[in-house]
Amino acid sequence: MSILEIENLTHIYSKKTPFEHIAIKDINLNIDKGEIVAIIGHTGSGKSTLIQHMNGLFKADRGTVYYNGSDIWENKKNIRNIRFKIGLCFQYPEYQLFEETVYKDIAFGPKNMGLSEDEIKKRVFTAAKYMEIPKEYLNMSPFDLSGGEKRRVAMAGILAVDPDILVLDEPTAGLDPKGRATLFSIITNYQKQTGKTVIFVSHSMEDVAKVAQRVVVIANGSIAMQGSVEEIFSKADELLEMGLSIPEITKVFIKLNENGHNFKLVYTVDDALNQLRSITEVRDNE
Amino acid sequence: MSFIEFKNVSFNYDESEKIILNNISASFEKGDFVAVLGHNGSGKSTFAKLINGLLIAKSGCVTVDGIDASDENTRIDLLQRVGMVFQNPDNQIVASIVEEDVAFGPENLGVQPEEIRKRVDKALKTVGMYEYRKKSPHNLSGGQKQRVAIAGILAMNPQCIIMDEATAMLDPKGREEVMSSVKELNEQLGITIIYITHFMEEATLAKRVIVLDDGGIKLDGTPKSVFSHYDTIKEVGLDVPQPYELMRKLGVNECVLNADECASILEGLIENNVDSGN
Repeated sequence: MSILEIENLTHIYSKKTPFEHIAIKDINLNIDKGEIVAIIGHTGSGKSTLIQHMNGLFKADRGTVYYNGSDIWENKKNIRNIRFKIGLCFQYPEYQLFEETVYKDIAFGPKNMGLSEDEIKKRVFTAAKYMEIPKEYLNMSPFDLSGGEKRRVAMAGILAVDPDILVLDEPTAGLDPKGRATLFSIITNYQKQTGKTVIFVSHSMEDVAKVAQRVVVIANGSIAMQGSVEEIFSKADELLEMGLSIPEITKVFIKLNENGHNFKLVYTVDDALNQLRSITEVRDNE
Repeated sequence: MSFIEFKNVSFNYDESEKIILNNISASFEKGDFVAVLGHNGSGKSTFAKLINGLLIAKSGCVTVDGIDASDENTRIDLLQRVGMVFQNPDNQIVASIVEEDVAFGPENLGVQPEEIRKRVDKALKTVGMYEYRKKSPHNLSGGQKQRVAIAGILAMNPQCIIMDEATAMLDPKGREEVMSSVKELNEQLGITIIYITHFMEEATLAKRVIVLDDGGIKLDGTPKSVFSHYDTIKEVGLDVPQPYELMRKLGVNECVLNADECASILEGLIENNVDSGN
């Protein structure tokens, strides 16, 4: 059974005004437990609107979101618990830091859940460990940290709530290449160790190819296609038309094939290397 | 004298805090297209803000076209020469109609209405947004909004445009649109471009790349010469474009930055392989 099931979801902004605008339309999407799913789409395609329905921040005009088989809005009073189970991390989450110390900031979520001091402490330490935040940072002000560190603290605050599903809206926007690589390795390690479900939005095709197990493409408020990294990035022309792109390394192989070669398309540098290994081995032997 | 000159420039926000830029000297000529790279916190934005006087050097001196960037009395002259586009497209649009937003700059400079009309139309045509002139900016895509922001600067007839991570929040197509607009301004109008980015692919399209690290300029040169310092690039938290990464791993030492060039070198390798009797 899917952990999250979205059925015929439609959301209209500024309904019954001259500015009425259909943000997402008839979205059907199933997310399995333990998956890492990337959502890609042009700006304004409805990605952020979609993910804000996943934990009930938005209520759809039509359609239903099921978590573990039940409608998240079945009991309105229960929506708070749904938000503990489905953790949503906004773009630039570091702007939401507010506490005096890193510890207090990470503890804010569990504290609001009414957990005991001991349990809160345990959760703060566990979350900090997952996010690779050194222990000595816990007593520092979050505002004395670097941009990338602040972001990890903000994300630890979400992990401390211990959600089943982690939803991340462009988690690496504005980070330098090393910061991006570190954050994605943290996210994949967290997923491997906990077996939890991760959904992330990204504009970096290289990162999507490296991290995701499944890719969902949103265009103009609808799902244009979904499938494995291979299935999606082999449709380069369609992606380009939708304002998206393919990894740089894939472009190299498309070019080679245009020149009469017959390579399998690749999406990461390592895959490219594997395919070209025979050539390099010959060179090494020479 | 160069168009933009940094002479022994140092900067820190607070006496007690760490020095962000330490004794930097550099010069940029008119018509340059300079990509500025560096990890988060390396001082890229500080560097940019010193050029248009948003920040003032603690020691040393920054001049643009001979104007001292720290001089309050010539601030207007400086701002007319140097415009800046910021990261978030939604934070820099002030009007509710595209063409009014573009007119905001020249209006504030006291330009005559007929002249403003001409400049606004021309600027919007240059960035390919003329047909959207009567539209409301909030209905535009991120890339379109950034192009409107660029048009707003163009309408002030600048000599230099600074892009401070202006593509960070855009989708691939938006990034491409902005980059191609900027390239055109540089090549056809000779506008000097200072382009701050975390996307290495964008930096490969500039004429010159500088890498900031630890308060200083670590690398400076053409994209090929800068990226060929593979180890240094990785040490300072940056990356090289994927085609070059592949070349390195294949044992090819030539710095290859774009997909087409990479493909043709691979073809050579494949032919070699066939020739050697396999």
